[in-house]
Amino acid sequence: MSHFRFLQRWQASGLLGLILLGVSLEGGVSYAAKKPVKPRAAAIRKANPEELLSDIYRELAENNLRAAQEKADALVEAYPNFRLGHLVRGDLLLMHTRAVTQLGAAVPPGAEGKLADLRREAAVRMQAEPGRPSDALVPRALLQMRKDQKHALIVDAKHSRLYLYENQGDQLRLVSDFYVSQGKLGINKSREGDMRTPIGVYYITAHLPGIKLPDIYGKGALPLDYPNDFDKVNGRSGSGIWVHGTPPETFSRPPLSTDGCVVVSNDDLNTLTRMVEIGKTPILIGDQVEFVSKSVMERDLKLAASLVEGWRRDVENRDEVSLRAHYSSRFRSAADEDATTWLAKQQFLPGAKKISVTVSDPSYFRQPTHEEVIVSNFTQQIAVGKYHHAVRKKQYWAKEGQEWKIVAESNV
Amino acid sequence: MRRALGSAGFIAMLLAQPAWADDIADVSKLLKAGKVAEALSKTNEFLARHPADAQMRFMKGVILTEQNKSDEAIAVFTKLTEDYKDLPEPYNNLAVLYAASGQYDKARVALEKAIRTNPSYMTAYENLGDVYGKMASQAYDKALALGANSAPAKSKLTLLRTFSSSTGSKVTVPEMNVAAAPAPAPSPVATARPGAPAPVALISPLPSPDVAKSQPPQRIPALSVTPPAATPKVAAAPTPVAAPAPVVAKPAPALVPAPVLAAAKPAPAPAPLVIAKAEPAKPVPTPVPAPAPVAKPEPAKPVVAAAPAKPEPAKVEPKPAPKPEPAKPVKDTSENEVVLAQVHGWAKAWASQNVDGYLGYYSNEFEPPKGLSRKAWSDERRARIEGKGHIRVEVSNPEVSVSGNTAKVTFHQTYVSDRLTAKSRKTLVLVKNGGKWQIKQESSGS
Repeated sequence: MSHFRFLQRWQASGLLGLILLGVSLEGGVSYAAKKPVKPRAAAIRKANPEELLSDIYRELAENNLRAAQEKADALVEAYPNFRLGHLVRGDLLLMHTRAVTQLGAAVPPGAEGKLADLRREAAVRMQAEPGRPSDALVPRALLQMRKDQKHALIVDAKHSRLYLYENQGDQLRLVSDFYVSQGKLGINKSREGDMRTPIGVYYITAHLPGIKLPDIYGKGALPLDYPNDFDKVNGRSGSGIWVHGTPPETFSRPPLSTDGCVVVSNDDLNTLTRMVEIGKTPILIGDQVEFVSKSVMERDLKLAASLVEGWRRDVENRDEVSLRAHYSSRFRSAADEDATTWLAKQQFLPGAKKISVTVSDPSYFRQPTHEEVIVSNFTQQIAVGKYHHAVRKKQYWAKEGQEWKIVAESNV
Repeated sequence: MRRALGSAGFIAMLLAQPAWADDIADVSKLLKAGKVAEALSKTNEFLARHPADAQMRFMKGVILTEQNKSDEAIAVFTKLTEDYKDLPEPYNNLAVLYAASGQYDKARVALEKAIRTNPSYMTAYENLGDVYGKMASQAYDKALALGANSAPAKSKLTLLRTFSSSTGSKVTVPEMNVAAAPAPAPSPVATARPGAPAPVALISPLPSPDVAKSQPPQRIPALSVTPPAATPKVAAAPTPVAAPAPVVAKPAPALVPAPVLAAAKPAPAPAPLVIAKAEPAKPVPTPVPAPAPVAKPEPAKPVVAAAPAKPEPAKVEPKPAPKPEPAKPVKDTSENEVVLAQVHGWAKAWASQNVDGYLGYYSNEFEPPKGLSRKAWSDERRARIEGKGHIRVEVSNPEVSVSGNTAKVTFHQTYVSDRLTAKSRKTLVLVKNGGKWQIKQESSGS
């Protein structure tokens, strides 16, 4: 099933949610008419705010204004800085006395911008539950993870969502998903200060605890390796793209509100911080996050593996013309060398006639973007006689016309 | 009915420790004169002798509120809610105090209790609507991080100065608290009319228990500062107009003892004259249900008074009978249209928030509810109406009956403001003054 279908479902249900907010008590309001609902014991586990929000809508859909009100009260009690929660609660309070037809029905003038932000936040949060992939589906981007990579993060920029996957025995399991904020101007970061979030395959490179950071970063930050080799080939600039928390005064930020960072709530940041492994955990960002069947993913994986295998063969055979053909004309190394120069430097014992090349511990990721890019990581072992050489390589394969070409390559 | 009895029960309870009308009246008068401290000491003096007296304790709460001694006032009203769990008024006033200090959650709880004790308690509904609005705006402030620059708007909640609430009305959600006509309990404040011994039977704050029980829906005369000579009023009172509390037609028998009516009749000529003097002179609410239509037509014009006084009574003669139906649809329908046009004009002025125009639709004889003075009532209406972002008022299915110079219009009213949507059944009683129909009574009920 294509992810696109999901989108449509998401939108439809998101809309429904907003309309639910319009449930009104028209037709002879009666305060007393609603049967009193016994306050439920507060959940022991701190429920996540989106679950609480959908609970509220569920009560509203059943016309239980009182129950909805109690849940909204509980929501802002549990998350006192959750502004969207306050907005919904404000609407619920109004519903006791009048019809409410839209989110933020009686917001005072002058706050239109903030209201629009909260409505956008509501819309994407409402999509979260219906958009969650079923267990049968896997994220297309995670073609193959290395065994020791326990987790992967996928940021769906289109839906302001971060998916945390666990990799266990070659099985992927969705652990959790979070609402995220991204750049004010969206994605496709290309230069410093463009207020966009980069798209691509990155890694968490560090953990910066919140106490060492200004308030704006909340409970901490997880920096990314933007710009990576592929970004450099494409001339992208900028730095300091982090996943980080929110300042104390707000639980969450609007969907499009950062200078390019990916912002999550402090609770979620803590969860992520516990899970990620520095330098190991990938974070894939894009607007084409797809969840596909295993067979689709296996096909993609076969392709990715065959690319690397073709390349390996040509290295082993010392077929320089064929090997050179795997590289794109736009290829640039980290030292800004062209492919020929780069390849010359990669040769091990150039005079040897017979060498053996093996590839092990590979990982393959497919960029969740329009541009088709496969990132392969593997350990290359060369044996010449009794000499051995091993190096960990990272390659960015991009589809150029019908051909897949290496656009960037580096030794890790 | 149950509710009415409930309030009757309360009255009986109050009677257990009767506040002397004079004492309460004195306190009221002091309060009105702005002598708050004196009023308080008098209240304390009285309470020293009768510590359990509910009316005086309530009065004390009101005085403390006036003095901005919120904590003490809250203590007084809280104690009252404990001692008299069935009384909505102390809850309401507690809510007003809580709301004034921004404790909207407590205010909400108190108002919900007020409504639970009396599900048709309109002031509490209106106040609850305001509290919800306030809470909503606080929530919005938090949602939009407005915090700093949004000082809480002054609370518009209505503090009750008397016990006489809209008890017994059957409206689910009336859009205004004016609706009280059907069955207000007697108001202690009525005694504000100092030294009005004659009308005691009619307006005493403490009618005999029998009265209270048998006539729960008695309409309480307004609080009046300068009561006109009481006696003539009483004579004039027997107008059937007041009685027809449309809603409660059944339980609300003749408002005033028939005998009085009889007394009035014998002297038809002088009566209008007296009234002519008393009435128009005071825009102040006539505490006593307006004079009969007989007296009504031209009391304002002394000129006419002499001559028409005679023919008029003759015509109205059949009317005094309670209210069933104005003897016969006397007038032709053209008059109905005039009346209806006036009602539509009233609704329009209200909806367009033209308060002066709106108030202009009310006759000088209009009796504000809850024992309010005309001025207090006008101010309250002004605050309510002007404070709204928008108001829509719809009049539908009107039924008009005209009898002489009195008309009754019953219709479905739909009221929508930015805080409240309410549908109710409304009855307006209009009287013709100098050729112009004006509202003399307003009541809600189904």
